[in-house]
Amino acid sequence: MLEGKQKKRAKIIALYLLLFVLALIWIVPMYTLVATAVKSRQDFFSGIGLFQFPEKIAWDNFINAMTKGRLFLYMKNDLIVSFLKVPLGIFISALAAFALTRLKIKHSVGIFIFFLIGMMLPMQAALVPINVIYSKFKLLNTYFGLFYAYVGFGVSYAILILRGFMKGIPQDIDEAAWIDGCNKWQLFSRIILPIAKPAVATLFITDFLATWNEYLLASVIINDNAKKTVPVGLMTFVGEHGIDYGYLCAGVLVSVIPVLLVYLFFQRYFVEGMSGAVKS
Amino acid sequence: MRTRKITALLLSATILSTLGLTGCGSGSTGSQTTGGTASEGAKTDTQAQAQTASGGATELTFWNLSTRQNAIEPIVAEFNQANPDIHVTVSFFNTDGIKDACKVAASSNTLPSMWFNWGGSLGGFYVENGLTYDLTEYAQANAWENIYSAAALELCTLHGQLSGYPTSFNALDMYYRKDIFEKYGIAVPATFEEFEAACATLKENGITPISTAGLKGWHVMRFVELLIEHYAGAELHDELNNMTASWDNEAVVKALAKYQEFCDKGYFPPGFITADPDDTRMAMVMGTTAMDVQGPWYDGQIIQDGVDVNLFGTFPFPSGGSNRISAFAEMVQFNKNLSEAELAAAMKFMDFYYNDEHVETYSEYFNLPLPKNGAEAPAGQPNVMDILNTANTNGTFTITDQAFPTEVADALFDAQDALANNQTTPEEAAKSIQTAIEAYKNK
Amino acid sequence: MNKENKKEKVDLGAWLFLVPAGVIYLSVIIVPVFYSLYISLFSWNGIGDMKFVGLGNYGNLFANDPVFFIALKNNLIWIFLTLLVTMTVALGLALILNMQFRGRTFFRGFFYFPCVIAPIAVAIIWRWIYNPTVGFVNEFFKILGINYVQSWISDPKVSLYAVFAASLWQAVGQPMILFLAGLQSVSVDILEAAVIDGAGPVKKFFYITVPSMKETFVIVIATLVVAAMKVFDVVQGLTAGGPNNATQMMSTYMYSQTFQYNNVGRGTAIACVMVVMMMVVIVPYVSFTAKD
Repeated sequence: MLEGKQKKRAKIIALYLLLFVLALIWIVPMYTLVATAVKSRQDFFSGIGLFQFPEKIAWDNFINAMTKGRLFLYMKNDLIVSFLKVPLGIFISALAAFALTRLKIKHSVGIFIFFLIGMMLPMQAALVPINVIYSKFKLLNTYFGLFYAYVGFGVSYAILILRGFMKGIPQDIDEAAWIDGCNKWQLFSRIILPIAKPAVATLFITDFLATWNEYLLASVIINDNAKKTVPVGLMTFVGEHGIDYGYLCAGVLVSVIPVLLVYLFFQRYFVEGMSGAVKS
Repeated sequence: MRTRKITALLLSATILSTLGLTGCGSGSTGSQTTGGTASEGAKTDTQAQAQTASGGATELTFWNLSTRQNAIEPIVAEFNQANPDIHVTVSFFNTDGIKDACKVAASSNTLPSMWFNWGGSLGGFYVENGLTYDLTEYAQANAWENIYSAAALELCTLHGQLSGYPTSFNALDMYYRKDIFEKYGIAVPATFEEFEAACATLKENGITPISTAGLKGWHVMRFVELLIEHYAGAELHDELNNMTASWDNEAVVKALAKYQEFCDKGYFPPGFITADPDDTRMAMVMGTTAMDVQGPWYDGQIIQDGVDVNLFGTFPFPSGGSNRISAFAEMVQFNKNLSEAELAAAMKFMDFYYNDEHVETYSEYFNLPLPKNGAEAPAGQPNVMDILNTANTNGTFTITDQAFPTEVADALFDAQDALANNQTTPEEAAKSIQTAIEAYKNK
Repeated sequence: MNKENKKEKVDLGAWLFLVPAGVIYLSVIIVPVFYSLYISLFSWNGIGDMKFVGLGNYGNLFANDPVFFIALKNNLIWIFLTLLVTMTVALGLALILNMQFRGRTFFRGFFYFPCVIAPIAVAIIWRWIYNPTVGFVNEFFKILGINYVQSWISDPKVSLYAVFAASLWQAVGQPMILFLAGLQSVSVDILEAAVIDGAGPVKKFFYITVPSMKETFVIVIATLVVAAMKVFDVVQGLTAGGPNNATQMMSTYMYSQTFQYNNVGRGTAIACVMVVMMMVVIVPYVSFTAKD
């Protein structure tokens, strides 16, 4: 018995050690980011080491990024776009993934692969055609236009994840539901979707992040300064003759906060797993 | 059951259409050009004006760099208020962003009324493809030759057309740390040999002679083109830049060989090939390097860094002949499809933007001095006038990456990289540049 | 009779589920796809006249263009490294972080954090880390007393791998949380039964965990291959394809051709080649795993 306990202890210690070593390697760039964000412009030229914190923390960088750099406005815009796009995109894709895995559709693999093509298309190749179409339909500079494009591009990845996850759900559940008199919609909304919570949560995090950090489409579709999103806004910190690194890094740090919050909120669903799946 | 499904679909449809309505409502105005409305950041009276005036006002769109946003936004708001019959909407981009945005807009026929551009092959692309308004007549009618400097007007003339409103004229000179030179008893070199000797002395004393960085190639090119000017002389250099003379010749080979020699001797910072050119100033300020090829904006940057600008001086690179230096211009191009009324409005705006009052209030957002005759240099920036005087006295040549189309410039940058890493010889490098030129001509 | 009706009902209703996604997808994706295919058959500068050249662009790429082959090679190396290194590290981290221990939530967030940072910041940070004189890596070597000086991203021999390392730091978080989600569906009961049967951790892993996560692997591999093929931001930010094309990727090359050299036809041809390459890898893989 004692041996067993010691073994377990040793295992845990080894685990923590490994984690700490990895974490040390991982943290170096992050530390640089933070150390840079608190340096004023003068600090860079004073010969200070990259990893040293300056004597005076340049809180101005953060404040300026939010106000003069309008980061606050950009974050607000990005939140609007992301919080509207992500649930809608997931919902639509879940409908499709559900159909592809649980309902009898001919060539469902073929249709799935068809949806995958969207993931493979390099975004740069889509810039001009989207610009042409949008200018014809007067969708340039509108959030609706940006939205529509985001949903369209996001469908591929979302279906990939949701389908993958839904395939893992045993068919017995469906059988039981049909017998109980459920129709397709009820099967979807009351049973399958709740089971797919880990996948939906993962997808929410991923999709939110992708939408939040999306640069190319946003820079082409949105020209109006008041509507710009965070990545486009961050690029305005890049100057003509030099980057004010402290300013930019401070801006980056501030702009990741909402994403981290979303992550923290949804990551608990990794733990919940198949609760309710092996059902009653 | 079924009804629930239908309800769900209807619900999604409603959500979509509501978003569509809100999106469209705050987006397009239905009027001309690219459909952007007044930026919410500007004063509310501008918005009110847009709504009341959208019927009869001349709508203009203006694209510029985001580094000037803090000056341009208030200027635009002021202008719109003072001119109720004109309405300017401005959009900002960063340096690479504006190039891409203009390209995409050109392909989809959505270029704005006016846009910022550089000269040379960058601006020339729009002229070649008939997208810009030819300002030659307007310039003659309004005696621009008396207002703007001849050099600026010349650099803005692309493919025989005066293609833009000149907004800045820049020349590159050799900035150096006066105190470091003094410390090691180095005099400002007047000949190429003296320059080499100066480099050797600096290197002996642990200072990297030249601060440069090769990411995207253009900063290293600033030095390499000076070597070409030295070995080829003024006339041949111009022909090389026009691609009328072959780059596969002795002068080019010698210049590239000398560049490779400098690399091998460690006259450039270690790992410079992928360093960011925006950082060359750091090494200069910290005194680890002593020279940097830069333009008049450098003074302003140095001051903003909180460093004493009097530590820095400039001298023209002793390439020989009249020691020409390289120069380039920036301008605002106008959309070819502007009506007469729109052109007049656009000019009114540009003149307003660049009037003396604004230049003084927002001086740090202008590339001073303006390319106008008799323009004044900003106070406290001693090197600016020196550089411009040198440009006028010694003469200038067009900076290589504007003289060349982008793909040929990239061939030169690749050669720079390869020579620095000893992957190629100067002869082969010269040939590869010429190959790129031929390929371009045969496109 | 009932069964027949039910079948009909199922079909129509089922297709209705596909409609919203299908409509948006078709209108946003399919037009650019066909547009790209079409444009790739022409020689065009984006504005002027279009000159039909058929497969000429493709011919030029494969026959006359050494840079294209460098880019192609680099992408293949990148895909290989991604599957070998990124996926392994992500899986390893997921396995560790799936175990019960205190602070695991914190560590999960910690390793995921780099994913969240904007690519331009990633490029800036790693440029400094690799800086030959004051960068962390060389400083670290100095502390250890190793006299190895390397210019990392400036050195054409190692720059691709140096850039990959930076990309690895940022990219691992994503597949890691996908694996974490997938690990939740591995039945604890079966695992326990296996332990009782005397199976060691390795056997458990390969015979139970991996097969249970088959669908997760489909997702991760498909995503990683696509990402490796399309990689752009971190390369463009760190080296812009240099030095001398040592880190040129298909996406950066396509970008130069289309937006800087105005060879729009050629650029889109590169994009088409990229899509075909991805399909060649992914379609068989997905079809194969879907057979059950």
